[in-house]
Amino acid sequence: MIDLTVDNDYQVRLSSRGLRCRVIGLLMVVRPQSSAPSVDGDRRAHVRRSRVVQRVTVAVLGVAILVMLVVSGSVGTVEVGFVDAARIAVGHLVPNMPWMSDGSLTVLQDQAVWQFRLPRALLAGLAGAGLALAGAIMQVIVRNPLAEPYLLGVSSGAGVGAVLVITLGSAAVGGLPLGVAAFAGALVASACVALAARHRGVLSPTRMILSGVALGSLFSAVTSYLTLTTEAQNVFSVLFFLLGSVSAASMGSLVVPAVAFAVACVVVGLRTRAMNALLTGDESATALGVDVNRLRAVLLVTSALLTGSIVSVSGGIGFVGLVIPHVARILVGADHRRMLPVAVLGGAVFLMLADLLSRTVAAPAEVPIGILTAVVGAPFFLWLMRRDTASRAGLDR
Amino acid sequence: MRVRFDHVSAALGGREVLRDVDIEIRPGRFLGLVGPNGSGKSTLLRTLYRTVAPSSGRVLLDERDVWRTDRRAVARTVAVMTQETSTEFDLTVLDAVLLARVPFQRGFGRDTDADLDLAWTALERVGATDVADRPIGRLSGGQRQRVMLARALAADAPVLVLDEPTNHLDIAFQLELMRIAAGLDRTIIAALHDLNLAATHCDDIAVLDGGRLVATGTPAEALTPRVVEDVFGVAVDQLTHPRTGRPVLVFDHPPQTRQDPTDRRDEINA
Repeated sequence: MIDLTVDNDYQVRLSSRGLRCRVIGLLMVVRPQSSAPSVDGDRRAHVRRSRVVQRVTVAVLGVAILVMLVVSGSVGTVEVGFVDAARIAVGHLVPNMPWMSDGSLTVLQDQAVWQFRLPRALLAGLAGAGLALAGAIMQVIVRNPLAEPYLLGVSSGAGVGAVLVITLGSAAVGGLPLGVAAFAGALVASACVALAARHRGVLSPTRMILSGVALGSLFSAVTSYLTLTTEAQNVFSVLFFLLGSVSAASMGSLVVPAVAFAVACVVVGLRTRAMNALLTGDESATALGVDVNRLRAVLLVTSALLTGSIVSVSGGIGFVGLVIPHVARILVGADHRRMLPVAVLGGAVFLMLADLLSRTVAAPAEVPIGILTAVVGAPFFLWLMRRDTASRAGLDR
Repeated sequence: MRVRFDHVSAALGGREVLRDVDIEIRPGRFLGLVGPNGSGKSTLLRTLYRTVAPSSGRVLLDERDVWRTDRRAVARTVAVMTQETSTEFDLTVLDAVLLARVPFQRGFGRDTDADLDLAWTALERVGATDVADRPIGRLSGGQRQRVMLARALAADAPVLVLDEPTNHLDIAFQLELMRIAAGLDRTIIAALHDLNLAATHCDDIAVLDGGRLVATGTPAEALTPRVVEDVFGVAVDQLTHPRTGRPVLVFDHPPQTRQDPTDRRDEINA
């Protein structure tokens, strides 16, 4: 076993006793042990320290995702035990499992788990992972801790598309279904913001933020007008979309966001070092051989497509994309090679938990997931932010 | 490696900031670039590390034109210590120094043992290993400059560009930094404000004024009181360092604004 002790300077040493750490909720928190500052001359110890903390965090989050899937599969009005929920999931993925045909599971149980609970848990996980990734991308593109996936008007654009369909019917947008209209709205909005921000062929962060805010207000105004002038019954649908929901998930609805997420992971994965360089400023990144303009453009398109594909299925779920990247930085530092896996897995766990709560706290009624992300997430984040470790995520300025 | 600014002109926002600057730095030489604020020092350096494209002229590394070479290849050859670094999101010191290896790495970018050795050696050289785990944003200005120097060293590139490297540094580390730089077997170009520091450590000096090269040569040739008076508009006297015997420049307000009634400049010069 590994022993992990930490002094006040967050230097971690390894020895061969037990793993000494505190697990609070789903996130591993390292507890400072001694007060004596230690200077460790061995460079390998520095590297190993960050690797171990990161790997433990990733492993804990990975296990948490599996646990959340099983728990989500089991919780609900139709009674299904944890073991049965896991059996149903495995039985659908691996052919010829004995329990699928021996009559130990009812059709109702199978349907509840495979057609309703698992798809929404998976969509929640996918949306959380994707929004956290998109948020981390936006934060590095504009080098601003307040950036989030919706910064460039993605959610307000998607809102216009969706609200047009809800209030005027899909004929108003050329017969597009709601999801597609929302996706189209998201992309049009991002394109408008990017075009407005482009000046002499350069996308400057400040222009991007300001044109995103300006155009976002414009799109929101359109949405508000359409909402106010429509029949009362439509208002609920509009609010439901704007707050975000994964309740309508089916296995089929997962495909587009899953593909977008996989592509985004590869695109971003190949650019983590360039993104680290971008953290230190445009000029210093250029001096390190990074084509800053092209990197921004590629990351921007990736983020817009990823966010658009998620919003079109699950609506504008807030908070995740802004806050989860910060949580990841607080836990493992700002280096994207370490921070992105934690952000992605953490975002997934967080939204799966929020979804589980959204359908249980007021059962049989459902609380919109966008409300729960803020209610659960805000206090947790504030607690984490006020801890001493938070300063390594640059929160002291 | 030889660096050559071949009749370089450059414009920023329509304003010409470099005019026909022609400088050659021979392999292994340490060139100090001096001149008033806004004289084009930083812009000239930027034409070398591919941030400002020259409007005419070429920047050559040996015979290769920097602006016709792959930017990663340029970054592998020219290591830069830039003036400012953003710390909106903090990397640890070690990670920040490891960024020097970015142009050398491919794929998902895992640090090799060789990368770590270079970064660690660079941190040792500037005396910053004790802060290796700290976030950069929590360092003092001087410590941060040390780390930035370590990053430039960790690139292990044949050409080193230092843009006002002694900013924020106390006098001891200013001297140490110049000693480290002068002791490297690399071609170095440094924009400097402290003329005496430049004169005592650089092999050659180039003086820029209003985007033009006005003097070049060894420190004794280029940094004469006359040149410095013309370029900076201050009164300059040259003394002899009592211990090293080297010439030292001292400065005062220019004659027309001088208010010191005890001025004895004429007597001394006579």
